[in-house]
Amino acid sequence: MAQDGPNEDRLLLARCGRGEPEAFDELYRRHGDALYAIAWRMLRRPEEAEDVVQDVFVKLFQSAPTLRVEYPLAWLRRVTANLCIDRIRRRGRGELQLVPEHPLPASRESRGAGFDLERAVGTLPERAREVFLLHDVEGFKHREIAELLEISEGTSKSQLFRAREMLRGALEGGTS
Amino acid sequence: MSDRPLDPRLREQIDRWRAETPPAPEHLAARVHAAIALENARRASQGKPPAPRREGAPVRWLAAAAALVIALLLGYTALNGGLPGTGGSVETVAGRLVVADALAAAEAAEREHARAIARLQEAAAPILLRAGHPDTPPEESARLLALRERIASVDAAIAEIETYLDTNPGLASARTTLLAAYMDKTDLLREVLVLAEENEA
Repeated sequence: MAQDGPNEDRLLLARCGRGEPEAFDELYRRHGDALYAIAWRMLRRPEEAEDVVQDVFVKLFQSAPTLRVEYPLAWLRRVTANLCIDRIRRRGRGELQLVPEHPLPASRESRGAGFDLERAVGTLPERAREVFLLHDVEGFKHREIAELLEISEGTSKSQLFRAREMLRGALEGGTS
Repeated sequence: MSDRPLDPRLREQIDRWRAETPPAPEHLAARVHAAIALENARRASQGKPPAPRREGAPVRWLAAAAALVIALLLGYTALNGGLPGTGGSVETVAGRLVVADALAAAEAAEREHARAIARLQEAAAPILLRAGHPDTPPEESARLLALRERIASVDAAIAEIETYLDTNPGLASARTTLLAAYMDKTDLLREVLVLAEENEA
Protein backbone atom coordinates (compact mmCIF):
# COMPACT_ATOMS: atom_id res chain seq x y z
CA MET A 1 0.00 0.00 0.00
CA ALA A 2 1.27 3.47 -0.78
CA GLN A 3 1.52 5.25 2.55
CA ASP A 4 2.43 8.73 1.46
CA GLY A 5 0.25 9.34 -1.45
CA PRO A 6 -3.20 10.81 -0.83
CA ASN A 7 -2.24 13.74 -3.05
CA GLU A 8 -1.06 11.40 -5.75
CA ASP A 9 -4.23 9.36 -5.31
CA ARG A 10 -6.37 12.45 -5.74
CA LEU A 11 -4.55 13.32 -8.95
CA LEU A 12 -5.04 9.79 -10.19
CA LEU A 13 -8.70 9.91 -9.25
CA ALA A 14 -9.12 13.09 -11.27
CA ARG A 15 -7.49 11.36 -14.23
CA CYS A 16 -9.84 8.39 -13.73
CA GLY A 17 -12.69 10.85 -13.93
CA ARG A 18 -11.39 11.90 -17.33
CA GLY A 19 -11.37 8.27 -18.40
CA GLU A 20 -7.63 7.69 -18.59
CA PRO A 21 -7.08 3.93 -18.39
CA GLU A 22 -3.51 4.40 -17.18
CA ALA A 23 -4.81 6.13 -14.07
CA PHE A 24 -6.93 3.12 -13.14
CA ASP A 25 -3.91 0.90 -13.71
CA GLU A 26 -1.77 3.08 -11.50
CA LEU A 27 -4.37 3.14 -8.70
CA TYR A 28 -4.55 -0.61 -8.92
CA ARG A 29 -0.78 -0.87 -8.82
CA ARG A 30 -0.68 1.27 -5.69
CA HIS A 31 -3.55 -0.31 -3.81
CA GLY A 32 -4.57 -3.54 -5.47
CA ASP A 33 -2.72 -5.73 -2.99
CA ALA A 34 -4.22 -3.95 0.00
CA LEU A 35 -7.75 -4.21 -1.36
CA TYR A 36 -7.27 -7.83 -2.31
CA ALA A 37 -5.98 -8.56 1.19
CA ILE A 38 -9.11 -7.11 2.77
CA ALA A 39 -11.33 -9.18 0.51
CA TRP A 40 -9.22 -12.29 1.00
CA ARG A 41 -9.36 -12.07 4.78
CA MET A 42 -13.05 -11.21 4.88
CA LEU A 43 -14.21 -13.77 2.37
CA ARG A 44 -11.53 -16.46 2.68
CA ARG A 45 -12.03 -17.41 -0.94
CA PRO A 46 -9.49 -16.19 -3.50
CA GLU A 47 -11.91 -16.29 -6.43
CA GLU A 48 -14.41 -14.14 -4.61
CA ALA A 49 -11.66 -11.79 -3.48
CA GLU A 50 -10.68 -11.28 -7.11
CA ASP A 51 -14.28 -10.66 -8.10
CA VAL A 52 -14.58 -8.06 -5.38
CA VAL A 53 -11.44 -6.19 -6.41
CA GLN A 54 -12.62 -6.14 -10.00
CA ASP A 55 -16.02 -4.84 -8.88
CA VAL A 56 -14.34 -2.14 -6.80
CA PHE A 57 -12.57 -0.78 -9.85
CA VAL A 58 -15.67 -1.01 -12.02
CA LYS A 59 -17.45 0.97 -9.33
CA LEU A 60 -14.60 3.43 -9.38
CA PHE A 61 -14.99 3.74 -13.15
CA GLN A 62 -18.68 4.48 -12.71
CA SER A 63 -18.19 6.93 -9.87
CA ALA A 64 -14.95 8.64 -10.83
CA PRO A 65 -16.39 11.45 -12.98
CA THR A 66 -18.26 12.86 -9.98
CA LEU A 67 -16.36 11.37 -7.06
CA ARG A 68 -14.74 13.95 -4.80
CA VAL A 69 -13.02 12.44 -1.80
CA GLU A 70 -10.14 13.57 0.33
CA TYR A 71 -8.69 10.09 0.66
CA PRO A 72 -9.31 7.87 -2.35
CA LEU A 73 -7.74 4.89 -0.64
CA ALA A 74 -10.22 5.18 2.23
CA TRP A 75 -13.02 5.22 -0.33
CA LEU A 76 -11.60 2.17 -2.08
CA ARG A 77 -11.26 0.32 1.21
CA ARG A 78 -14.83 1.16 2.21
CA VAL A 79 -16.19 -0.01 -1.13
CA THR A 80 -14.16 -3.21 -0.83
CA ALA A 81 -15.49 -3.90 2.65
CA ASN A 82 -19.00 -3.07 1.53
CA LEU A 83 -18.85 -5.48 -1.38
CA CYS A 84 -17.45 -8.18 0.90
CA ILE A 85 -20.26 -7.65 3.40
CA ASP A 86 -22.75 -7.84 0.58
CA ARG A 87 -21.27 -11.15 -0.51
CA ILE A 88 -21.35 -12.52 3.01
CA ARG A 89 -25.03 -11.60 3.22
CA ARG A 90 -25.72 -13.25 -0.12
CA ARG A 91 -23.91 -16.35 0.99
CA GLY A 92 -26.17 -16.43 4.03
CA ARG A 93 -29.21 -16.24 1.76
CA GLY A 94 -27.81 -19.02 -0.43
CA GLU A 95 -27.48 -16.70 -3.44
CA LEU A 96 -23.83 -17.45 -4.08
CA GLN A 97 -22.44 -20.71 -5.26
CA LEU A 98 -19.48 -21.28 -3.01
CA VAL A 99 -16.10 -22.64 -3.92
CA PRO A 100 -13.88 -24.10 -1.21
CA GLU A 101 -12.16 -21.74 1.15
CA HIS A 102 -8.48 -21.22 0.60
CA PRO A 103 -6.24 -23.76 2.31
CA LEU A 104 -4.27 -22.64 5.31
CA PRO A 105 -0.69 -21.66 4.53
CA ALA A 106 1.74 -24.50 4.92
CA SER A 107 3.64 -22.63 7.62
CA ARG A 108 0.51 -22.55 9.75
CA GLU A 109 -0.38 -26.14 9.12
CA SER A 110 3.08 -27.08 10.30
CA ARG A 111 2.58 -25.22 13.54
CA GLY A 112 0.20 -27.90 14.58
CA ALA A 113 -2.86 -27.70 16.74
CA GLY A 114 -2.16 -24.39 18.52
CA PHE A 115 -4.34 -21.32 18.39
CA ASP A 116 -5.31 -20.34 14.89
CA LEU A 117 -6.82 -16.88 14.72
CA GLU A 118 -8.27 -17.22 11.25
CA ARG A 119 -10.05 -20.38 12.18
CA ALA A 120 -11.18 -18.95 15.51
CA VAL A 121 -12.59 -15.87 13.78
CA GLY A 122 -14.56 -18.20 11.57
CA THR A 123 -16.38 -19.57 14.60
CA LEU A 124 -17.54 -16.17 15.84
CA PRO A 125 -21.17 -15.11 15.41
CA GLU A 126 -21.51 -13.29 12.09
CA ARG A 127 -21.94 -9.74 13.36
CA ALA A 128 -19.15 -10.06 15.93
CA ARG A 129 -16.88 -11.55 13.28
CA GLU A 130 -17.55 -8.73 10.84
CA VAL A 131 -16.91 -6.05 13.43
CA PHE A 132 -13.73 -7.72 14.64
CA LEU A 133 -12.41 -8.09 11.11
CA LEU A 134 -13.24 -4.55 10.15
CA HIS A 135 -11.94 -2.96 13.34
CA ASP A 136 -9.04 -4.98 14.63
CA VAL A 137 -7.80 -6.54 11.43
CA GLU A 138 -8.60 -3.93 8.79
CA GLY A 139 -8.43 -0.82 10.94
CA PHE A 140 -11.82 0.72 10.27
CA LYS A 141 -13.27 3.13 12.86
CA HIS A 142 -16.47 2.34 14.71
CA ARG A 143 -18.16 5.20 12.86
CA GLU A 144 -17.24 3.64 9.51
CA ILE A 145 -18.25 0.17 10.66
CA ALA A 146 -21.58 1.50 11.84
CA GLU A 147 -22.19 2.87 8.35
CA LEU A 148 -20.98 -0.24 6.58
CA LEU A 149 -23.03 -2.64 8.67
CA GLU A 150 -25.97 -0.28 9.22
CA ILE A 151 -25.71 -0.54 12.97
CA SER A 152 -25.09 1.99 15.73
CA GLU A 153 -21.59 2.78 16.92
CA GLY A 154 -22.60 1.37 20.31
CA THR A 155 -23.51 -1.93 18.72
CA SER A 156 -20.22 -1.96 16.87
CA LYS A 157 -18.35 -1.46 20.14
CA SER A 158 -20.31 -4.10 22.00
CA GLN A 159 -19.87 -6.61 19.20
CA LEU A 160 -16.14 -5.94 19.16
CA PHE A 161 -16.00 -6.49 22.91
CA ARG A 162 -17.87 -9.75 22.49
CA ALA A 163 -15.59 -10.92 19.68
CA ARG A 164 -12.42 -10.06 21.60
CA GLU A 165 -13.65 -11.85 24.70
CA MET A 166 -14.52 -14.97 22.74
CA LEU A 167 -11.19 -14.95 20.95
CA ARG A 168 -9.31 -14.36 24.20
CA GLY A 169 -11.15 -17.34 25.67
CA ALA A 170 -10.18 -19.46 22.69
CA LEU A 171 -6.60 -18.22 22.92
CA GLU A 172 -6.34 -19.10 26.60
CA GLY A 173 -7.99 -22.43 25.94
CA GLY A 174 -5.21 -23.05 23.48
CA THR A 175 -7.52 -24.03 20.66
CA SER A 176 -9.42 -22.34 17.90
CA MET B 1 -15.89 -1.16 26.51
CA SER B 2 -14.09 -2.11 23.35
CA ASP B 3 -11.79 0.86 23.90
CA ARG B 4 -9.66 -1.31 26.13
CA PRO B 5 -6.43 -2.12 24.34
CA LEU B 6 -6.40 -5.24 22.28
CA ASP B 7 -4.85 -8.24 24.00
CA PRO B 8 -1.22 -8.23 22.80
CA ARG B 9 -1.41 -11.94 22.06
CA LEU B 10 -4.36 -11.31 19.76
CA ARG B 11 -2.51 -8.39 18.21
CA GLU B 12 0.40 -10.68 17.49
CA GLN B 13 -1.92 -13.22 15.89
CA ILE B 14 -3.53 -10.52 13.76
CA ASP B 15 -0.13 -9.26 12.62
CA ARG B 16 0.85 -12.79 11.70
CA TRP B 17 -2.38 -13.31 9.77
CA ARG B 18 -1.87 -10.08 7.89
CA ALA B 19 1.70 -11.03 7.06
CA GLU B 20 0.55 -14.39 5.73
CA THR B 21 -2.12 -12.90 3.50
CA PRO B 22 -0.98 -13.43 -0.09
CA PRO B 23 -0.61 -10.54 -2.52
CA ALA B 24 -3.08 -10.17 -5.33
CA PRO B 25 -2.39 -12.69 -8.09
CA GLU B 26 -0.49 -11.28 -11.04
CA HIS B 27 -3.30 -11.81 -13.52
CA LEU B 28 -5.68 -9.65 -11.50
CA ALA B 29 -4.15 -6.41 -12.78
CA ALA B 30 -4.94 -7.32 -16.38
CA ARG B 31 -8.38 -8.54 -15.36
CA VAL B 32 -9.17 -5.22 -13.70
CA HIS B 33 -7.74 -3.31 -16.65
CA ALA B 34 -9.91 -5.22 -19.08
CA ALA B 35 -13.00 -4.91 -16.90
CA ILE B 36 -12.61 -1.14 -17.10
CA ALA B 37 -12.13 -1.38 -20.85
CA LEU B 38 -15.24 -3.51 -21.24
CA GLU B 39 -17.22 -1.13 -19.08
CA ASN B 40 -16.09 1.72 -21.30
CA ALA B 41 -17.04 -0.20 -24.44
CA ARG B 42 -20.40 -1.12 -22.95
CA ARG B 43 -21.06 2.48 -22.12
CA ALA B 44 -20.25 3.42 -25.71
CA SER B 45 -22.45 0.72 -27.18
CA GLN B 46 -25.37 1.88 -25.05
CA GLY B 47 -25.11 5.27 -26.64
CA LYS B 48 -23.79 7.00 -23.56
CA PRO B 49 -20.78 9.14 -24.17
CA PRO B 50 -17.72 7.01 -23.47
CA ALA B 51 -15.25 8.32 -21.00
CA PRO B 52 -12.97 10.62 -22.99
CA ARG B 53 -9.76 9.16 -24.26
CA ARG B 54 -6.58 10.99 -24.81
CA GLU B 55 -5.77 12.19 -28.28
CA GLY B 56 -4.56 9.39 -30.46
CA ALA B 57 -5.45 6.55 -28.12
CA PRO B 58 -6.65 3.75 -30.39
CA VAL B 59 -10.18 2.46 -30.01
CA ARG B 60 -9.00 -1.06 -30.63
CA TRP B 61 -7.17 -1.34 -27.34
CA LEU B 62 -10.57 -1.79 -25.74
CA ALA B 63 -11.23 -4.86 -27.77
CA ALA B 64 -7.69 -6.09 -27.28
CA ALA B 65 -8.10 -5.68 -23.57
CA ALA B 66 -11.37 -7.58 -23.73
CA ALA B 67 -9.65 -10.44 -25.46
CA LEU B 68 -6.87 -10.33 -22.92
CA VAL B 69 -9.21 -10.54 -19.96
CA ILE B 70 -11.05 -13.40 -21.54
CA ALA B 71 -7.77 -15.23 -21.93
CA LEU B 72 -6.83 -14.56 -18.35
CA LEU B 73 -10.21 -15.44 -16.92
CA LEU B 74 -10.41 -18.63 -18.83
CA GLY B 75 -6.85 -19.56 -18.08
CA TYR B 76 -7.55 -18.97 -14.44
CA THR B 77 -10.74 -21.00 -14.52
CA ALA B 78 -8.90 -23.81 -16.23
CA LEU B 79 -6.19 -23.72 -13.62
CA ASN B 80 -8.75 -23.91 -10.88
CA GLY B 81 -10.88 -26.49 -12.57
CA GLY B 82 -9.27 -29.30 -10.71
CA LEU B 83 -9.04 -28.13 -7.15
CA PRO B 84 -6.90 -30.26 -4.95
CA GLY B 85 -8.92 -32.69 -2.96
CA THR B 86 -11.93 -32.69 -5.21
CA GLY B 87 -10.48 -35.82 -6.61
CA GLY B 88 -11.25 -36.73 -9.47
CA SER B 89 -11.36 -37.56 -12.99
CA VAL B 90 -15.10 -38.14 -12.67
CA GLU B 91 -15.78 -34.49 -11.92
CA THR B 92 -13.34 -33.42 -14.59
CA VAL B 93 -14.98 -35.56 -17.24
CA ALA B 94 -18.44 -34.41 -16.18
CA GLY B 95 -17.24 -30.82 -16.30
CA ARG B 96 -15.95 -31.30 -19.82
CA LEU B 97 -19.26 -32.74 -20.91
CA VAL B 98 -21.11 -29.74 -19.51
CA VAL B 99 -18.67 -27.43 -21.26
CA ALA B 100 -19.12 -29.34 -24.52
CA ASP B 101 -22.91 -28.99 -24.28
CA ALA B 102 -22.64 -25.30 -23.53
CA LEU B 103 -20.21 -24.85 -26.37
CA ALA B 104 -22.50 -26.52 -28.88
CA ALA B 105 -25.38 -24.35 -27.70
CA ALA B 106 -23.23 -21.25 -27.92
CA GLU B 107 -22.11 -22.09 -31.44
CA ALA B 108 -25.70 -22.60 -32.54
CA ALA B 109 -26.69 -19.28 -30.99
CA GLU B 110 -23.74 -17.60 -32.70
CA ARG B 111 -24.81 -18.91 -36.08
CA GLU B 112 -28.34 -17.66 -35.46
CA HIS B 113 -27.07 -14.23 -34.49
CA ALA B 114 -24.73 -14.11 -37.46
CA ARG B 115 -27.63 -14.80 -39.82
CA ALA B 116 -29.81 -12.17 -38.16
CA ILE B 117 -26.97 -9.66 -38.28
CA ALA B 118 -26.35 -10.35 -41.97
CA ARG B 119 -30.00 -9.64 -42.77
CA LEU B 120 -30.08 -6.49 -40.67
CA GLN B 121 -26.77 -5.32 -42.07
CA GLU B 122 -28.03 -5.64 -45.60
CA ALA B 123 -30.99 -3.45 -44.78
CA ALA B 124 -29.00 -0.97 -42.71
CA ALA B 125 -26.03 -0.50 -45.06
CA PRO B 126 -27.69 1.90 -47.52
CA ILE B 127 -29.17 3.88 -44.64
CA LEU B 128 -25.80 4.25 -42.96
CA LEU B 129 -24.34 5.48 -46.24
CA ARG B 130 -26.63 8.51 -45.96
CA ALA B 131 -24.56 9.73 -43.01
CA GLY B 132 -22.65 12.78 -44.11
CA HIS B 133 -24.42 12.96 -47.46
CA PRO B 134 -25.33 16.53 -48.45
CA ASP B 135 -28.96 15.54 -49.05
CA THR B 136 -29.36 14.10 -45.57
CA PRO B 137 -30.79 16.44 -42.93
CA PRO B 138 -28.07 17.40 -40.45
CA GLU B 139 -29.80 15.89 -37.43
CA GLU B 140 -30.33 12.54 -39.13
CA SER B 141 -26.80 12.66 -40.45
CA ALA B 142 -25.40 13.21 -36.98
CA ARG B 143 -27.39 10.33 -35.51
CA LEU B 144 -26.34 8.03 -38.31
CA LEU B 145 -22.69 8.99 -37.88
CA ALA B 146 -22.93 8.26 -34.17
CA LEU B 147 -24.51 4.88 -34.85
CA ARG B 148 -21.88 4.09 -37.44
CA GLU B 149 -19.15 4.85 -34.95
CA ARG B 150 -20.74 2.65 -32.28
CA ILE B 151 -21.17 -0.19 -34.76
CA ALA B 152 -17.51 0.13 -35.75
CA SER B 153 -16.53 -0.10 -32.11
CA VAL B 154 -18.57 -3.27 -31.58
CA ASP B 155 -17.21 -4.69 -34.84
CA ALA B 156 -13.67 -4.18 -33.61
CA ALA B 157 -14.48 -6.02 -30.39
CA ILE B 158 -16.16 -8.86 -32.31
CA ALA B 159 -13.15 -9.20 -34.61
CA GLU B 160 -10.76 -9.42 -31.67
CA ILE B 161 -12.84 -12.02 -29.86
CA GLU B 162 -13.30 -14.08 -33.03
CA THR B 163 -9.56 -14.00 -33.66
CA TYR B 164 -8.98 -15.16 -30.12
CA LEU B 165 -11.53 -17.95 -30.53
CA ASP B 166 -9.82 -19.14 -33.71
CA THR B 167 -6.96 -20.38 -31.59
CA ASN B 168 -8.97 -21.11 -28.43
CA PRO B 169 -12.27 -22.50 -29.72
CA GLY B 170 -13.23 -24.39 -26.58
CA LEU B 171 -13.46 -21.41 -24.29
CA ALA B 172 -17.09 -21.05 -23.41
CA SER B 173 -16.76 -17.74 -21.59
CA ALA B 174 -15.23 -16.12 -24.65
CA ARG B 175 -18.19 -17.34 -26.65
CA THR B 176 -20.54 -15.82 -24.12
CA THR B 177 -18.76 -12.52 -24.56
CA LEU B 178 -18.98 -12.88 -28.32
CA LEU B 179 -22.72 -13.47 -28.07
CA ALA B 180 -23.12 -10.34 -25.98
CA ALA B 181 -21.23 -8.38 -28.64
CA TYR B 182 -23.46 -9.86 -31.37
CA MET B 183 -26.51 -8.78 -29.43
CA ASP B 184 -25.11 -5.29 -29.07
CA LYS B 185 -24.57 -5.13 -32.80
CA THR B 186 -28.07 -6.45 -33.50
CA ASP B 187 -29.53 -3.74 -31.30
CA LEU B 188 -27.52 -1.06 -33.05
CA LEU B 189 -28.55 -2.20 -36.51
CA ARG B 190 -32.18 -2.27 -35.43
CA GLU B 191 -31.74 1.25 -34.17
CA VAL B 192 -30.59 2.28 -37.65
CA LEU B 193 -33.71 0.79 -39.21
CA VAL B 194 -35.97 2.44 -36.65
CA LEU B 195 -34.30 5.77 -37.34
CA ALA B 196 -34.94 5.38 -41.05
CA GLU B 197 -38.60 4.52 -40.43
CA GLU B 198 -39.01 7.57 -38.22
CA ASN B 199 -37.58 9.83 -40.88
CA GLU B 200 -39.76 8.37 -43.59
CA ALA B 201 -42.91 8.69 -41.51
